[in-house]
Amino acid sequence: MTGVMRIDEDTLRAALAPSPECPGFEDLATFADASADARDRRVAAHVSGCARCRAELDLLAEFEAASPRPEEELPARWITARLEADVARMTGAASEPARATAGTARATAEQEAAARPEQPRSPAMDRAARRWNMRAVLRPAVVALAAAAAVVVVLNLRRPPAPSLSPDAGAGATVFRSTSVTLVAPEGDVAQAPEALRWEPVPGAASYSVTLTEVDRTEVWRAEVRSPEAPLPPAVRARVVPGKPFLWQVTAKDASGDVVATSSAQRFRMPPSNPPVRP
Amino acid sequence: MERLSDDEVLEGYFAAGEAKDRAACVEALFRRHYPKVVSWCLRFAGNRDEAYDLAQGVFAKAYRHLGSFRRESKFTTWLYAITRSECLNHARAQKARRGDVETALDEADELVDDARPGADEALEKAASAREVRALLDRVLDETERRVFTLHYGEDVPLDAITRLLGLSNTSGAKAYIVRARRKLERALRSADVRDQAFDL
Repeated sequence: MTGVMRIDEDTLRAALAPSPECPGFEDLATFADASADARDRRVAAHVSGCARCRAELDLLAEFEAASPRPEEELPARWITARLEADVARMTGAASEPARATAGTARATAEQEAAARPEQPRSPAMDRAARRWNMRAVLRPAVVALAAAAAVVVVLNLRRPPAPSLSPDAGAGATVFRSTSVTLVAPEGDVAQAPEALRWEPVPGAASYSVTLTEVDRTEVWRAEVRSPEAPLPPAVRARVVPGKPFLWQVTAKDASGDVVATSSAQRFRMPPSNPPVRP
Repeated sequence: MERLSDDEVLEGYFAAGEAKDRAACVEALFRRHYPKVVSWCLRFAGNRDEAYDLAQGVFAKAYRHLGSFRRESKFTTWLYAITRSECLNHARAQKARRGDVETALDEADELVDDARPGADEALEKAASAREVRALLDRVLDETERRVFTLHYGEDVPLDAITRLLGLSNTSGAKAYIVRARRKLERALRSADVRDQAFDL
């Protein structure tokens, strides 16, 4: 890097746009799905030095482990009930059990709507309803109901929109929160190789599976423990050298070995010991 | 069907002779992945109704294209690609609708060494994306890099990034942007001091 450089919006956008060396998303996904020994070495080398591609892979891993957070559970149930009904209608020739499930979903959604008549409907919902209910709308009997519903919608549109999720819901310490298992330490830059990996206990968990990987997901170490802490063996600690980042992840299991919660992947590293000095 | 893997359900879908059997496979396959997609859409949209619209779009697209899914990747990876695309398109449309307020804020907060504007401009032209990427990689921690990638690389609004990454600090992603830019500024200044010393 030479002298004073001005980093403005455009410079950052250019730097964080995919570079010519970045693999396309499909190649990156293939890389993510492959076992460690079957991965393309060229892609692995690129990923280890590309913040953008690493972020993409981390987001994919987050998606794999995603489930509604406590504050998302109510809206998630509401959406899921509607999706089940939508998909049953979309597939058309739904099987009986599927029809029953869809019926239950619709009933749940309808009960919920009846229980909360103050809940407004957004234009987005109405567009969605129009897309999915076209056949029903064509039936004369339903046309009358649709007209009545339209009146309700118009009245409801005058009400304020549904409350947004708070960006800082669950405020607390500045942490990168996991989906279910909350990882405690290490995180980010650490002064020395950590002696142990620590996380918050998960209710109902009988054991934890801990995995330490390199950023390209090559496994470095794995352990099964009963307490929310896994001491790192000296041989593993010796591999934590300045400048080399690692990811770690925890899966909580119940007494029968079934997964009850999974964390996101958390990164840590010892920063490079000395910045390079140019002659 | 609940105990079958995604691959096995897909086998059943592609082998099914009757529409009702294919429908049962689709419903079983989609049902097990509602939590992932719905969570993701809620975090991107920030409200229930838009998240529903987004999730509905994801599954409609997945249903339309399921027949051409080549099974070269995991089903969840394929579903993520669709979810990602729908959510990013939504974020860009939302940004276009409400105007680029965040960009204006960012531009007001540029990292500028105003003492030597002429030199800055010349050097700015010389600064390559590769150099900036190397600087970001060296100076920022993983969360800051994720926030930067989503915001500057993918145009995702800061409030959506806050929810998506589960950032529980008061100012969410914006605080990470501010902190990261200060780190970059410090790194640039120290590089400048070193260069001046060597110039002497």
